Amino acid sequence: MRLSLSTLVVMLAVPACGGATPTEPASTTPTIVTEVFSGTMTTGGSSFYSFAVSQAGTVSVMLASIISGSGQPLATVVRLGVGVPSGTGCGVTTTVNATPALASQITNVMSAGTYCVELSDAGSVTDSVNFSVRIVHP
Amino acid sequence: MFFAACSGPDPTSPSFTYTGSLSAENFAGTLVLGGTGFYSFTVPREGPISMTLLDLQEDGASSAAAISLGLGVPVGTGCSASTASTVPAGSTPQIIGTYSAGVYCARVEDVGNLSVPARFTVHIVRPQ
Repeated sequence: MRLSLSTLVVMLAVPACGGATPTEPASTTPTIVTEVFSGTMTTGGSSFYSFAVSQAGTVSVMLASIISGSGQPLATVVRLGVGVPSGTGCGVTTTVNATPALASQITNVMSAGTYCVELSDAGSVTDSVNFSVRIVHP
Repeated sequence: MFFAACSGPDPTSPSFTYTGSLSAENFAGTLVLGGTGFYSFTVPREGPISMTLLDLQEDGASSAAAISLGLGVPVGTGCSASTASTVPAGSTPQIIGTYSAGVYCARVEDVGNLSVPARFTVHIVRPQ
């Protein structure tokens, strides 16, 4: 099909329909947030921490440290979980038994929403300990 | 001469009427002096949430004391209430509103009116 020059000019001049004034596309690079969940756990105990994921992305959870009451680092095995706050606790959907490390023990891709990290005694906590969990998320 | 007819997005109704089903659950426990407690629940779709402090008992008897009842989102180790009211137990919802889908929490807090630890029951109604 051949188009005349005048027809081509008209086609190019027709505005696009269907919405408001176009805007710059939003940045797709999420802002990464680091939160630290720290506290004290006793034998048989558990505690949880809630956080908001602003957009879909990778959430990583790292049990950074377990320290005795006297300040000694411990290699105690505890249960680390990720889930959604539910009732008076955290409804975990992913759990691992973990010892403190410098690498994430849980890495999940999650959609935007509210989630929680739970730390509980896996049977190895014999005295009150202080813990620190690092959570990195969009 | 030419023109093109354009149309934007359809306007949405300024009012919202929820026609879906509702679910009810109770948050019950013991509130210590000066203490707080919270309970998380998921709202799968936009709709009404109502909360009623149904019952408050001190020493096994109904109490007229007012405690803080709040609705918010779980944050950190607590519940960040965006709406709160200091109320005695009653049968009429003390907090009601329309909220979008998400995870919310009901929070109770003794603001200094309890004389002993109190048993409480909060009734939560939300979209199912």
